[in-house]
Amino acid sequence: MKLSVNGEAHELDVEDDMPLLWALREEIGLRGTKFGCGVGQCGACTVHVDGQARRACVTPVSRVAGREIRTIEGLSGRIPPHPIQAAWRARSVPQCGYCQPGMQMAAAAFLARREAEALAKDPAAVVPPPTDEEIRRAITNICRCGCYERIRKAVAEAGGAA
Amino acid sequence: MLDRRTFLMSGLAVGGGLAVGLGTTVAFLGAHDRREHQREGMHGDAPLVALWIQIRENSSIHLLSPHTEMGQGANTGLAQIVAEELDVPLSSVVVRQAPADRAFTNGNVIQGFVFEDEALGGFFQKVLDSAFWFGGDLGAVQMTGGSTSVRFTGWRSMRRAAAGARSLLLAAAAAELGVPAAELVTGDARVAHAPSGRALTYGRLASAAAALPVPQDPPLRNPADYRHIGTSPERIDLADKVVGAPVYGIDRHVEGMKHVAVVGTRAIFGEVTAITNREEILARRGVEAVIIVQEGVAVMADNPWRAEQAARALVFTEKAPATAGLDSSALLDQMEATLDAGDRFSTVEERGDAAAALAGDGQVIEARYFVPFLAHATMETPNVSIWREGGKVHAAAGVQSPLPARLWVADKLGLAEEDVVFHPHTMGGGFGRKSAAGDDMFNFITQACTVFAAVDQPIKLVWSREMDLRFDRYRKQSVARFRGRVGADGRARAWLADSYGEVNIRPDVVTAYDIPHLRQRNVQEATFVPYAYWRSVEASIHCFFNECFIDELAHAAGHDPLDFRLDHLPTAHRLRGVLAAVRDMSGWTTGILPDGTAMGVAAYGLFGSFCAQVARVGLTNGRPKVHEAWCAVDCGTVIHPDAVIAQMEGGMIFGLTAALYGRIDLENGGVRQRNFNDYRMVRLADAPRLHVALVPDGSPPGGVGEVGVPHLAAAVANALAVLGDRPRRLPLIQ
Repeated sequence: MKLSVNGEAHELDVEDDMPLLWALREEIGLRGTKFGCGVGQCGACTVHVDGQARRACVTPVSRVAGREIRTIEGLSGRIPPHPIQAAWRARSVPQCGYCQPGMQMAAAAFLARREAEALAKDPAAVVPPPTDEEIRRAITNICRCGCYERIRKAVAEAGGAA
Repeated sequence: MLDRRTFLMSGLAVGGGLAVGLGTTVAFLGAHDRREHQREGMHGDAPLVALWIQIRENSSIHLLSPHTEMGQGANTGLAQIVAEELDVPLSSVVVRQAPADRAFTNGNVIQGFVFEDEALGGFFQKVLDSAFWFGGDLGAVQMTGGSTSVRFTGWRSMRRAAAGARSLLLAAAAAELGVPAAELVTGDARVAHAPSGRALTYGRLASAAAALPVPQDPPLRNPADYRHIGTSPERIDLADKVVGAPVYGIDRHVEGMKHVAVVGTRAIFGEVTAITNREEILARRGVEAVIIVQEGVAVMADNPWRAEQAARALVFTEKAPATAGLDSSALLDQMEATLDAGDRFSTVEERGDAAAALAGDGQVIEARYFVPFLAHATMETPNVSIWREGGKVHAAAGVQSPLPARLWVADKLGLAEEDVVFHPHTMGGGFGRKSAAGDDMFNFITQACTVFAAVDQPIKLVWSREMDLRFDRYRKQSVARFRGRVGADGRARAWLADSYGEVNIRPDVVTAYDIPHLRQRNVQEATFVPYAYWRSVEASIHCFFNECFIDELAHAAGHDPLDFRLDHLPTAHRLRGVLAAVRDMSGWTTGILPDGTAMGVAAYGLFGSFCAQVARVGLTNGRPKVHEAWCAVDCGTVIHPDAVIAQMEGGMIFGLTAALYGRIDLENGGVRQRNFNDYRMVRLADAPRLHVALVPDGSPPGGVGEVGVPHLAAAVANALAVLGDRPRRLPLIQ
């Protein structure tokens, strides 16, 4: 099976129904993507598949073969950071940090989708920063340390809020 | 300040340079007979050495922290304290995780509880038990918990060690330069002699300083001159955590490592007697071993998913434990009956004649409260890696108690302590689950040891979320019966609190209000349900009871519940300041607001800090919805303000999750809940907007990590009492 992860091609010999999470972590060795529940509830395993946020623990690897997969390791480097990572750092969002790769991937996909939708309607649009309500609806990941207040502010700031 | 039986010690660091730390003897526990007895039987008066600060010849400062990071940011605060007293830039302090070794224990955590808090109680006992159980002395205490890192390790010990190091460096410089020490000043990791314009770096002085006698009471910096304490530098773990770089225990990788999944017995304490389909499971792709372990069966495979799938496909027979018929609702009935029988209480607090004072003018109020069992549900599920390397067995995990975990591995594998190396990892949440204090805390490590002993290959055992919820150790289900009277003058006259709950640290349990006739009793009996501390410990239980009941009295008196609290606090009580602050910041009002929401308040002190919170709550489709919450906290001297704010925010969400959704039910001796779908968490959609204010106070630092947790349960219930019927049972959403 051929997987494209962060722009690199990987050939894997795994079952069709192995969740992407375990293929990433154990077959490819990218352990930034985390296990939290195994049933798609918590979002700690969130990655991008063709730019869309997907819960890797319930995504069979066969369904994403040949598609563009991006993990936290591929979101950006440290220099320059992805706007989400910069906002996360400026707001000092993480506590234990365990859910944050998934949270950041969910947030990055949300902002990208929002921008793409706005630009599809009007290529000259100036995309306004997301509202609290949009952010609350869009990101359903669990953070047990309870960093939501800072996550909400950081997403808004990464989306252009002052 | 510190007990005289602790002493600063210093010496030459490995590779040259100065090392300073705090030593102590176990003799300070002499007052406690049992401890004394064990001590004599074990170690005598041997000094326990903790060399925490090393100054290298290149002037870098290495701080060895016995505390493990689980999101609380304590290591940044410890670095600030050390930088302050050493008078060096924060950037020159390198914090390293101390090894799981007796040289890096923190018995001062215990001292903190002994000397700072009046009651020793169960917490102390449990922590000591965890130490004695393994090592026979305080040398095995290496714990991150009890909101102790900064207030005890940092403020009591590292601060003194750093000040001692600075004194030694000054003395070494005075000798080298041949000038009086009084003419020397420190700054930027150098000692300077202004009259002659000469200066020596700390690194240059370090080895000479190591040969000097260490001062026992070195002068401490004047708070007016603080440059690090009270500022919010970037947390030392932040840069890694925003790029997904930290290596948690679950990310540990060892070449050739196999993966272990476990399926548990139906009941807690179940015993697997036979595996029906062993051959079929072994024939699955990647599966290499099927091994009966404590309370379950483990499957080892070449990939964790293959192991997990195989474990779930296992068919086995099990011997039901004696507790297999038990459930939490029957236990509740029994607890209620015990409360009503009233013959097994121990008195927690008594003043005046509360029973007699129930009679009189005004109104008598009676209420019963209930809080359920709770699981910790750390985002990173329990896991451990074990392998053999260089003639020793190595184990790696993120735990709050690395040294006890090392001793646990040695014990389960029948090895000597020195034959086991333990690698502490940063934790994906702790909340009490990953400490050694509690019932059979490292049950997951026990299972891994059984597998390792059988296969002798590198393994990593990772629990599923289902295993985590079903084989956690739980916050206690507790009930209380309160009676009280408010007089015709509107003042609380009598307060009778009977609980079947938990009492470890008395100030975390007894209401702070000045009520002339008060009696608090508690009964605390072992149940069949394994127990562990749960972030904020007994305050999570008794704050709900006490702060709901004072609200009921306020309503009965017809008073503003926030004013009523202020009216019943002693003049100098530190809850007064936080109540006044939270009133102002929330725009506190009583009654139902125009948008249909209402406010509720709770004020409570715990772990040496004081906190008041207000919640603004509405009903959406009949269910409580918390829109906004305010928190004012007085935690004494603040080391890192932003870290305190972060802990309050996080504590509030942790407490709100429990208040709204948290319940663990025992059915037929086992836990009913399986995953986040039936053990719900607050998410962004139901996370209120939060506002936190720090109320200044010059006292020594209080705890922070647990201080924001208990209040919202009561504050939200008190708000709901304005909107309709008062809830007295948690969780609020059933």
